[in-house]
Amino acid sequence: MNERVSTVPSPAPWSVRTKREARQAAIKSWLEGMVYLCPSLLLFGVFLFYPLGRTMYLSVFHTDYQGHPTEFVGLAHFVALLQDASFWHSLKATVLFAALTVPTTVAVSFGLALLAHETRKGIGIFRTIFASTMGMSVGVASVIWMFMYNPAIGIINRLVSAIGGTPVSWLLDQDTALYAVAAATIWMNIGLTFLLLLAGLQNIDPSLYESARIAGMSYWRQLWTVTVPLLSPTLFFVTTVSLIQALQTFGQIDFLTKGGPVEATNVFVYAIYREAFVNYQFGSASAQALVLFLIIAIVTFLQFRFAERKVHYQ
Amino acid sequence: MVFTKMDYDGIEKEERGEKRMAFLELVEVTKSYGGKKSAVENVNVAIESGEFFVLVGPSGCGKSTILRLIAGLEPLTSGYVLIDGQVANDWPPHARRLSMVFQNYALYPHLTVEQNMRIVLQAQKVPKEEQVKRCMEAAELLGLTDVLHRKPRELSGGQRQRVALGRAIVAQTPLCLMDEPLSNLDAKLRAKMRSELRRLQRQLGMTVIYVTHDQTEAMTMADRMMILHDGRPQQIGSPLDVYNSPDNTFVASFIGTPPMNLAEAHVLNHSLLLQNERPIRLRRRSLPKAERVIVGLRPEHIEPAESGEESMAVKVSHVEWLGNETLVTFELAKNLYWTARWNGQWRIRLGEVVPLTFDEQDFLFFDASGKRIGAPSIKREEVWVHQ
Amino acid sequence: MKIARATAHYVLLCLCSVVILFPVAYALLMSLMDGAAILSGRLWPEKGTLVNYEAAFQQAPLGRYLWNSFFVAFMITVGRLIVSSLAAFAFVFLRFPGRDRWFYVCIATMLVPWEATVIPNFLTIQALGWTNHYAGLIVPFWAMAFGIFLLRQQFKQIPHELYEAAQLSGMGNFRFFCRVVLPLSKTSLVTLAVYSFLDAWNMYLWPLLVTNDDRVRTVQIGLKQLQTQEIASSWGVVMAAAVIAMLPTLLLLFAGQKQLRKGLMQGAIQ
Repeated sequence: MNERVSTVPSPAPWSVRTKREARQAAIKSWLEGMVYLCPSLLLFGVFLFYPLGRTMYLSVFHTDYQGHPTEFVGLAHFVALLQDASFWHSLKATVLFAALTVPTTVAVSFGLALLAHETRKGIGIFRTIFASTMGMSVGVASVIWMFMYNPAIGIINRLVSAIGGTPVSWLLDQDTALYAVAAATIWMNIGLTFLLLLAGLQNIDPSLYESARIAGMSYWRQLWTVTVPLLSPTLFFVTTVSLIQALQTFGQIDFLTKGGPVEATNVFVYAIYREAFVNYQFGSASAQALVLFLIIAIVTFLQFRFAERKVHYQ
Repeated sequence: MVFTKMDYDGIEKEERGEKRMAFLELVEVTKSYGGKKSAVENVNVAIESGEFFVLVGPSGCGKSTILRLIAGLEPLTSGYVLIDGQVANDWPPHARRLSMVFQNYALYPHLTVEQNMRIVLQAQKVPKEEQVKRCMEAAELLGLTDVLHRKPRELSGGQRQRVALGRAIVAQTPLCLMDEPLSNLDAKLRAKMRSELRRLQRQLGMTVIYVTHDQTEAMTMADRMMILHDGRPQQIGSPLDVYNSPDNTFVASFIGTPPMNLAEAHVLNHSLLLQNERPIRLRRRSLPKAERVIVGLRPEHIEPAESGEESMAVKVSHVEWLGNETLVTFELAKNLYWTARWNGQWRIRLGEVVPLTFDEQDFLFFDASGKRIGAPSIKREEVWVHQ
Repeated sequence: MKIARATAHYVLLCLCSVVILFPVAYALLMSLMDGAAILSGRLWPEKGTLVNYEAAFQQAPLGRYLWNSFFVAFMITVGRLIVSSLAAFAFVFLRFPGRDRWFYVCIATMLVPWEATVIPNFLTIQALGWTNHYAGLIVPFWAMAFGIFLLRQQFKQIPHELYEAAQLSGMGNFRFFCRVVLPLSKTSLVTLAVYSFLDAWNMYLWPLLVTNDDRVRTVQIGLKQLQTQEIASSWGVVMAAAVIAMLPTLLLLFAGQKQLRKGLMQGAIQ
């Protein structure tokens, strides 16, 4: 048999690199890497790490109206917070708000995703409609819902009167304000949550459903046995993100109720905003901001610790 | 040819005058998607109870579609599916009492092996002790007893395949459908699982409809097979029938490795002119009554000529030594290469001219459109359709 | 049976669509009615009129607000894409000491809620003189850990052999980045762009803090201004403004929907 032996020139003997050359090469590659990272790191440094440190610094000081620290007070702000009824009220409002919006948003979006998951004629239109609230910015949504909630001419009270109930001042009544804002928030958040859950559903291998059909499982059985476990990573992600978002709500509150009536909707971020930019108490506002940071960290940690166990990763 | 009692049981019964009751029948089954050209067309077959029936063909030929139609995962466009003599077109998958092994196994990733196998039984409300019993039996049969508590992602490909099989076994349904279950395994494991599957099927007495694109799998596993091309059935028969007596050039060249040698030929008075170049004198064989035909000859029927024997001289263009046999590719005519398969290890150089000989009786003739000329050597089977 | 199931399905879909679309449809209808018609409590305009739309542009610099929102959102998006993709490229293809550590630092930033930094950031912007200035609205948001993360996942899917082949042929890193990596990552880039744009358009607290006059005010705050001015008198005008303000984002969502879904699916797999 003929075999052509190709002659490849053997590589040049590996030159002995001195320590200096090696170090120079390492520095060069480090510099190149840093050039690409520079913008991100610089911005993180200026607008994230420095401010975080500064917030911690300000929280242990009294500040003047320009935001300059004047007098070291140690943990006085924190202590004052814990004794302030308004703080606990705000905490309660925030927790209640999150409890109202997060499960409802996830449940409704899940239902919509299930409906929109099947392939039918024209399903694309419905998918677009369900996702449309993602395009509703906070100002637009707030102003529309504000009008809908209007006690005199808003559509909601009109409907209530039409079925014989008494019209309510939704946004001005202490008992209903938080629920009213929650309803608007749920509506706003459905769009993105729906898209995420739909994407998760469509990632599930269809042959798992076919196998279930052949075995004779009913629709609800399939939902429980196949859909929910395989969707659990997405459900977990969506719930975690929604929860963190809910704890940081601000826009709708500022628009619809300004924290009132009687602080019924004075959620945490709004309280911080008021303290810092209306009352100019930057020191205690910083303390509050740190408390919020702590709460979010704890909540996220708890989520990962307990809820993530139930998630089935593949 | 060796006839085994099992393969030809049906024909013996026929000779006794008994009617065969087909277990599953497809009558004029057609499936098309949205007015486009049909995915499968005019499929007719009767499958016996206990049979290992293979649907084989190249990718996209419609074999998986037929399987899904049988399973009830998709509706037919026209035709009938008959199960035990009853029209089952509208029956949901569960009512058809079948189990299915998917190409990618369709194992539930969040359940253990045992749970994966038992979930089918749970859906059918089988009592718990029975569930466990069947599960343990299947696990022992398949060698899965040690991994019952593991999740699919911790298993090897072969183990996952066996779990998928286990799910089908515990269901104890009379019919089992398999969609290319071995295609994700490496070659060695595939060969081993082929015989395992067949042994299991015989032991349990399941009727299996098996889809593959690999003609070797079809040949080694099938009791009977259906070769499909472009959605149309080309031939139905036992492996040897199909091998020895193909109905058209597609079947002839699809079944068998290396594929059957084919050439266009003009029919003259006592000889054939292959590809306008190579004349072959025919003595014993009567020629077909057409002017232009396609001639087929299997590689193993082309032998090296002894000295003194009447032979054809050809120039060798390529040789492959497999150890037990030698494949010699030669130029039959301009741009037409045929392959011969010789037993043993032959010393042949590229470009060498070698003499070849063959038996005229081994020729197969096809007309210009590819259809077989000449009576097939096996009697056609009849299908009784129950109204 | 099948038809019954299909009908029920469609009915459910339509019901849900009505509920979801109701606020938007309501706003649209109200915007086409004049003040008297709204107060009279009708639901459907007797004769549609565009008078509210005219008023919206006259009574407030709605056009200016829209332009500001658009400009700010656009610049944030472009900046984010550039900054994030550069960083993601470094994390995937370049080898340098401490690379993984820096990556963890970037990921750590995702854990810090924005409120913990807003006060000093405001003071910084004030000190830089960037209040009431586009820079103050845009620059702080260019670094985005989520963007780095998303693009890193995408870049990792590019076969490393492409990079090695480029190196062998003498292609520089930056050239490789521009000519190979970016074109191959279109889906993720579009997803990130759409998400960033919508996110930036939606910003509320920050523009509220750093802007004071109409020159740079974004449409979210603009709507709030308009609403306080027009309260109880011309809701129609306010609704018209809302309808106009929602058009850009709806259009973007509609155009980018397919890409967004593809991108989210890829993200969901991780």
